[in-house]
Amino acid sequence: MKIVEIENLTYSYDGKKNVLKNVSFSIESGKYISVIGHNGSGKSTLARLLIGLLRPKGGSIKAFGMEYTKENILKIRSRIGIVFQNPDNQFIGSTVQDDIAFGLENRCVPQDKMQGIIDEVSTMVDMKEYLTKEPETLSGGQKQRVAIAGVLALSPDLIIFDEATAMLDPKGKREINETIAKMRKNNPELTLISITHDIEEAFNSDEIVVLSKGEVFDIGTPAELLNKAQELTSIGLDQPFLYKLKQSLKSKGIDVSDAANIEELVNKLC
Amino acid sequence: MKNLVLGRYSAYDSFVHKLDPRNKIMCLVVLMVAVFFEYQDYSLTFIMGGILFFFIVILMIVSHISFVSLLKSLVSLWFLILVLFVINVLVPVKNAESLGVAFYIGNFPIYLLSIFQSLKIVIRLILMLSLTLVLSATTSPLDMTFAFEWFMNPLKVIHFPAHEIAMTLSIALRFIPTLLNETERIMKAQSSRGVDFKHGKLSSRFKAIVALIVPLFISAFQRSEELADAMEARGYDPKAKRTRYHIFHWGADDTYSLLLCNILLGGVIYVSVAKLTLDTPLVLPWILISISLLITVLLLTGIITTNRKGREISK
Repeated sequence: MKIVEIENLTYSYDGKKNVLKNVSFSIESGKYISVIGHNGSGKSTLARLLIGLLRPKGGSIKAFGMEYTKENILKIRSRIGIVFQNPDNQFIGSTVQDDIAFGLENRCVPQDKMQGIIDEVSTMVDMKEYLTKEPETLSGGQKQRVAIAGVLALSPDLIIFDEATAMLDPKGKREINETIAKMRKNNPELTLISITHDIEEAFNSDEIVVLSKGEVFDIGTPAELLNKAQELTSIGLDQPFLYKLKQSLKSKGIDVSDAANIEELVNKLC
Repeated sequence: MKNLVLGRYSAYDSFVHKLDPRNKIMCLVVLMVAVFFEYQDYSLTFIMGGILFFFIVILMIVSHISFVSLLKSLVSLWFLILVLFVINVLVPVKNAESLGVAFYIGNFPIYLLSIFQSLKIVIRLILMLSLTLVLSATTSPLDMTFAFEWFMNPLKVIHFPAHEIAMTLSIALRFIPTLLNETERIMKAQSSRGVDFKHGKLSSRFKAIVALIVPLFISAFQRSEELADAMEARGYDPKAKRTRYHIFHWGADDTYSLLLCNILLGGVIYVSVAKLTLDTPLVLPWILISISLLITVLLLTGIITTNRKGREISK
């Protein structure tokens, strides 16, 4: 089932320069999609269009088979969760539990059910023992995990990560990626869109949408894109570690170009 | 920088902490009114002030507030207290001679009345300060905004945005530490670029402050924009109906404590309005009785709190 359908989407902030031009792709339910692109490629704009904070200037987006109209927008939003980049600027409550409760309050979840949901999602992101802590005592990675818990509490069908790891240190990044992996294992139905410029992160996903200057540059599975790594460099993206490794091995006379991921490569070498 | 927020909330599980925040604000108002009554003579004024302070000390012990924090906030007010003293002593008051002259500075007489007058004001100041300290140390900012929202509820009839104001307040409180950190960071960044915040003429220091304020404002506006997006994405609509995570129940403890504060206020009003003095028959015994009553209350509340294991949640 197609959960998101985007057709010829165009958007511009000032009416002159198009930040997104004729973007078309669709997302299958239960998939983990990455959208990569360098700064200014329009990837964050895409996230804001998906959650309905912006309205398209041309083309159309459909989520769950619904158009983004005034009547539908709240219905769509109730099924989409988003985690933004800055850990501080999306922490609304004064403690962890208040922040998770914020979304529940907005959705009019009865008060007696809240504590159960908060306990459940905070356990899922390993923040159970921090429930009464204030945001200034938490690290960036912990704050992002609270944001994920706040999103999970509303049990959405689609979660968007808008560069959720960009402002974190390596440890925080690892924690978030582990949480994402755990979420997918717990709920295979969940669709994830990760907007990132971290090529390694993108290569963990099922499918990658490469944006460049507001246009779709390429769409494919990580294995497919690996063979086009040279082209990724041309639009200002880094080459994935696997590709770099294979290239260096090749220059030493070892050909392992048919390995699709690190495990296969290791198996081939040993 | 972080000590800037005086009387910060400290999370304990005491009797006072667990009271309904609405009740705590009401009690505060009642006690503050009690602070401002005039009495027939100064000895009575000081005794009544002492009784009120004794009551507040009980509250502070029960709610685990250290006296160091009270002293600290008093120390930060030393200048105000000094000015009050000096002005009151130097400015002649009506019937200044009535209690006689305390001493002379050169040829200038310092009247006893002026000294008592300024002492009275200082006592009131200390009382008010310690009362607010009890409230702010035992009530989390979020509970406080909830209570304010509740008090503003009647105004909703005239379309007063009570909920919006409470939400704004709680977000502002939430962002105080974040913005303080930001200020510190910007100050360091600007210092490393050669801006001097601590030395130089007033005009150059003022210019330095501009170099701090402008980036701080820009970042605050960016933050608020992102925060608004995050709130909208999580389904916040100020006009829509919401449920509440925190629900407060008015308990027997609340009725008991509000009653106690009102009895105290009643006593104060009686002493003041009936124009009692220390010479009035039975006043002294009554004062002794009320003090012993307060001690009983202290013991009782102490027992209640220990029974409920007034334990520290987090520091």
